[in-house]
Order: sequence, then C-alpha cells, then structure tokens
Amino acid sequence: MDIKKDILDFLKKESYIEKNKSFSQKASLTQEGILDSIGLIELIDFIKTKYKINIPDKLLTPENFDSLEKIEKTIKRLR
Amino acid sequence: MFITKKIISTAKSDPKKVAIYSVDKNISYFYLSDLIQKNGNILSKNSNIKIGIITLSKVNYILALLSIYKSGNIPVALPFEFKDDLLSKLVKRDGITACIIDESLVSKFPSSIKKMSCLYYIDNSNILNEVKFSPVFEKNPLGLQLVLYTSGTTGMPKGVMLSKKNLLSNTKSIIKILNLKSTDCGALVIPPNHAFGNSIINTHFYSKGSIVVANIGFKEEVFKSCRVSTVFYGVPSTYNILLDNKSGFSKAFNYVRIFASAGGALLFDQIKLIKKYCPKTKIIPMYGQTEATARLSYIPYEELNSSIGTIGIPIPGVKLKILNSYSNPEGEIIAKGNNIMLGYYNDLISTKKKVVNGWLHTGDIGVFDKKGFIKLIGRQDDMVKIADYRINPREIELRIADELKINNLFLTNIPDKLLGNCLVALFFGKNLQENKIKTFFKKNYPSFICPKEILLVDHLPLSENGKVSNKSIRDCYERIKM
Repeated sequence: MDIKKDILDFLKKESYIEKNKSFSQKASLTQEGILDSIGLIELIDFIKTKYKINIPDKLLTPENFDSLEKIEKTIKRLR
Repeated sequence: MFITKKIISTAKSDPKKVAIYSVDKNISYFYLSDLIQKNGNILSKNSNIKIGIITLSKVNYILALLSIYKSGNIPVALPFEFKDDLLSKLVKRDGITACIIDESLVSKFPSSIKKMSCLYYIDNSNILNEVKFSPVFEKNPLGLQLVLYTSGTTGMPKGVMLSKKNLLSNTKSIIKILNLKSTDCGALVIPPNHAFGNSIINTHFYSKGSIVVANIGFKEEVFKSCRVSTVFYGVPSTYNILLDNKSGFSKAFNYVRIFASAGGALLFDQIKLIKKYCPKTKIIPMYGQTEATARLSYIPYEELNSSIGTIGIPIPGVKLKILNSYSNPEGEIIAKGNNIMLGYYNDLISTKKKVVNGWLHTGDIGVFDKKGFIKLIGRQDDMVKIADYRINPREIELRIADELKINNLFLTNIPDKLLGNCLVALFFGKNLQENKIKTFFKKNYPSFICPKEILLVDHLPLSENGKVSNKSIRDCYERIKM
C-alpha cells in the first residue's frame, strides 16, 4: 500500500494541488498554502475513513501531519 | 502609530515580558520592539506607500503589520486566501506596488508579486529580506492607517480604509467591554488579516498584554498553546471544531476568563456546551463589520441567557438605530461612531451607498426586542456567511459563467454542523462538469467555500415571482433531499 500516493491522489482529486505538478514529500502542507484549516480537517477525515484508524486529538500536531512524509509515518504507527 | 509606540514603551518598562507565544518560540517585548524597529528601518526608505502582506505565519503577519506601521507606510492586509488569480487582479486594481510575503509562499503567488516594485521576503528568522526596491513617496491626505478587505458586491473584495481615529476608538471600546489588562493573553487562532483578528492584535498590545498564536487545523496545537490564554476568540466554526473534544477543551481553557465570539452568532447549543465544559468562564458574543473597524455591539455576560439571537448593546462610542417605520418594526441596522471607516479604497460610489451622513448601513435587518436589544432577522441583499466570510452566491455564479462558461449553476447556503453554513450547488442542464467546478473553487477560494454537494435539477430554482434567490434555490434543494 502506498500511503503517500493515496494522500497525493486525495489532494489532487479535491483540487488542493494541480494534477501535473510535482510535490515534495517534505513540503509543509499548511505553511506552503496547500491546505487551510478546513482543508486539513477534510484530509484527517479522509485518512480516518480510508485506513479505518482512530486519530486521537493529541496527535493532531504539525509534527504528525504537516507533510506527506510525516503523515505516512503517523499512519503506519497507528495501524 | 499608537500600537507600535505602546510596544516600544512596554519593551522599555518590561523587556522580558512575553509579547507573542507560539509553538516554535516566544517573543519578548524587547525582541518584538527590536524586530519592528529593524524591519521598520528597512521599509522606511519609502513613506506613505501601501504595502501588502501575504503571510500564513501569524507571527510573521504581526511583525509585517507592525514594521509597516513603524516605517510610516500603510499596511494592506491582502485577502490572499482568495488565491493568486483574484489577488493579482486586486493588487492591480488597487495599485499596490509593494509587498511583504512569506518566503515559502512565493511560488504560490507568481502573478500577484510579479509587478511589485518593492518586494520583501520574510522567513522564520522574522527579519525582512529586501528583494526588490524602488523609491516611491506618496502623500496621505486622508490619514489612512490600514486597509482591510471585505467581500464586496462587484465580485472582488473591497478595501476598507481605516484611520488612526477608527482603530484607536475601536481598540479602546473593546478593551473596555472585555476589561483587558496587561495580565491578559489573547488567543489568536483566527486569521489575523481580517477585522476580528486585527482587533485582537490591537487590543492586547495596547493594553500591554500578550497574544498566543496557533493553527486551528491542528487541534492539539491550539489546546497546548492556548493554555496560557485568558481570553479566547473564535468565530462559531472555531468553537465547533474545538468543542468536539470535551477533556481537551476544559483542560486547555482552564485559565480563560472570557470566550469572545464574532463573525456570526453562537448557537444556543454551543453556548450550552461551553458553559458545561468551562462553567466559570464568561461568554461574550460580539457583532460587527470590517467597515466598522471591527466591533459594533456585544452581549454583556449578565444578559446572555435572555439575549441569545440578539446583537446586544452598542459598544462605548457607537450608536445603533433601525431604519423601521410605524407599519414595520423591522428594518436595516445602521451605526454611527468614530470607528466607521473612511470609505472603500478607490470606490466612491460604493462608499456613498454604504456610509450615508456618517451612518454605516450594515445591510443586516433587525428588530428591537422587549429589552431594547436588536434581534437579527436576516440580510437585505443575498449575502451569506460561510465561516466568517461574507460572500455573495450571485457573484460567484456570474464568475463561473464568465470564466468556466458554465451557466445555470445556482449556489445557496444550508446549515452545516462544522461551519454553521455551507454552500451547495444545483445545476440545470446537461453534462455536469463537477470536477471542473470543484477545481475552480479550490483554486480561487478558501476550501470551505467549495460546495459540499452539486446536484442536478430538471427545472430552474425560481421563486413564485420568477426570481432566483438563496431562498428559492434552498427550497429547491430541500425538495430534492426530501
């Protein structure tokens, strides 16, 4: 399962990033203007449903969710 | 400028006091004062020019704002959440030729910054980096101090011109109603480039207090950072997001003495939950508009139970009236005071419609209740509020017809658990291009403006007298959903 690809597909499907644009795995989703606060909430909902995991609020920090790389690590940890 | 003077004087009397708390670092008054003087010097080669701000970092926003004030120029809080296409048209329309931008956002706004003659990057070091410069000196006959943006009726946000008198009077009134002291710390989790966020910056620095910044998308960041806050500010959706976690909410806001709200009415259920989680904390709903600098009225805490759904009483220095008649007690709410804007930037026609003989026409319809408080009934125009953005669905429909060549798409608002209100769309015709529509929204607007649903209809959503309105579209949507 390619988590990074799933997340990237979601961001493209929901038009947060353009389809043909390259995107760094380390790029900050919030600081680089990819996701605003409601966009972030949508992404978290997507992750919860897609991977059938529960994400405790205490994990909702930039360290865990602010880039593709960090998101993948967090999901792997929670599964 | 009165805020920067206050900060510099506080830095002398109490240099170690924290001015800004954030996840990464805390900034003392000494350091803040030093930064705005250094950055102010970089900007002071120009005077009285309008300098736009595009920063996602709240700390950088505050620094940019204060540094521009210090340099004798005029900050323009650009509505960059509307993305590069619209922003580039807006900076061209308003003749903004100087800009401070987060270095991490440069690639997101190529068209907007391309024609700037003065450009400054700001990064985590908080120091401005001059990228482009050319000397411009302008005069400021109106005494313009700040430009904030609001959604307008022409499809583009309008620049609201505020003077020192506007900002100072509103700052003093808010300090009075919330009884803000130097011991207070205000939580800034909403965008700082809107009137509400701007008022948090002004009031807490003017009362020599502190501010804590956090990103509402990361709930835990808010809960963790805001433990130092004594006054928490939010729009209804901010509270919705946070109230979802009872223990997080009550633990984080243990020291909060006031929950203040604006940008839409708090619902009865929200107030009930806040009271349940933090029984000792006062809840103070406020009402206002960007054109009134920020605030116009508030509900005093003692009156809260009997006054939910009203806008309360005017803040000190403001008069409120209803343009009603003997036959109809309902009418438009109008307001007067030193906080009423100088006017819309470069738009005399709209200014004359909005401010008549010194009275601000709010566009909100109200009626007096038995206690003499004003109850909100609705809007005079077709504007709707999504989160704290006032938008006109008719304008967006026109833009879609114009730019995407998609006609017969109708937008309206329906209640939403998280945002209070959200948009839905109805499409009459063949070949519904849902992806194209969604992409258009995400490219041009904040993500929550994008319609939650796009439904096909077999007739135009017209009212009985053949007109399209939010209500006629909503009626049609509800019939489909039944």
